[in-house]
Amino acid sequence: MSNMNNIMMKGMNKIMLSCDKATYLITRNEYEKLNYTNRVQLSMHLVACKYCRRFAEQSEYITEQLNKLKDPKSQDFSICLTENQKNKLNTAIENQIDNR
Amino acid sequence: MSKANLNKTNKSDDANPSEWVNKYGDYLYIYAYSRVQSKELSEDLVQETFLSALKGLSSFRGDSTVQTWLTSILRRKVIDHYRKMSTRKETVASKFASPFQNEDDNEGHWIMERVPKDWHSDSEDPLRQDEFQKILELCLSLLPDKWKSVFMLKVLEEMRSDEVCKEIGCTASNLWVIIHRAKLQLRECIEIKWVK
Repeated sequence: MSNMNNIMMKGMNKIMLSCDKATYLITRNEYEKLNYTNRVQLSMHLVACKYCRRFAEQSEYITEQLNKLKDPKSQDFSICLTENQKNKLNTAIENQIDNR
Repeated sequence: MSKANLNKTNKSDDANPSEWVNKYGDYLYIYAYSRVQSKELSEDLVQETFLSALKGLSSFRGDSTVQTWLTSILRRKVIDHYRKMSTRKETVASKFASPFQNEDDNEGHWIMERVPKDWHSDSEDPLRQDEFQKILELCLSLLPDKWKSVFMLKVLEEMRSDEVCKEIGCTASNLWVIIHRAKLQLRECIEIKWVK
């Protein structure tokens, strides 16, 4: 019986994704449509694995925050050029105009 | 005044290089910073952008706004920065410590000590969200150079995979493995530094 279980487990492992592969597909799925087999495998894995479900949620949250990070309009203005930096930039521009 | 004339007037004002720093400096600086997470480098990139724009000023036809035009030049500078970064030899050999087991029976399953923890109480608190942005920047900067380059071009610049590979010199499957590992490392870094 335990032998039978072993064989079944091995068979299941072939069908079921590892968490490594599942998290790979979760990330890839954010940018590309997965093929049918991968979609089915991933949803089966997510039903069974709470840690990968957590990973999927967190991955989505990280992507959301990355989108905020890259939008200059949503940045707070604690980051801006100092007067000193502005002067340096203006000087560089003027120098190049004079050299033309 | 007709609309066409109005646009022309705006163009000549906005395209005056002596006004660039005042009008677009901060916007470009924030744009650069949001992509490279270094103030020093952002300043350099903005300066290079203005100087390239001066050289190409005669080719600016006013089809887009000056800001859009300058941003597209800066975006190219950011991509060039990551292209150069990806070919740099890593000073510290980056060894990926996978959070997954490699023994036969459990191969590819989470190592128990490194499974994702529950983030709910942290991600729902608005104050902790501000802190998240800072930690995210820090953890991005800790990625190995090559991974960071691939990750930034694909995820932040939203370039197509083949475009990223053209810049960085990677294969399509290699690209996804790098992004997968970068995401795993980023997630764990955030968890260690942010989740209470």
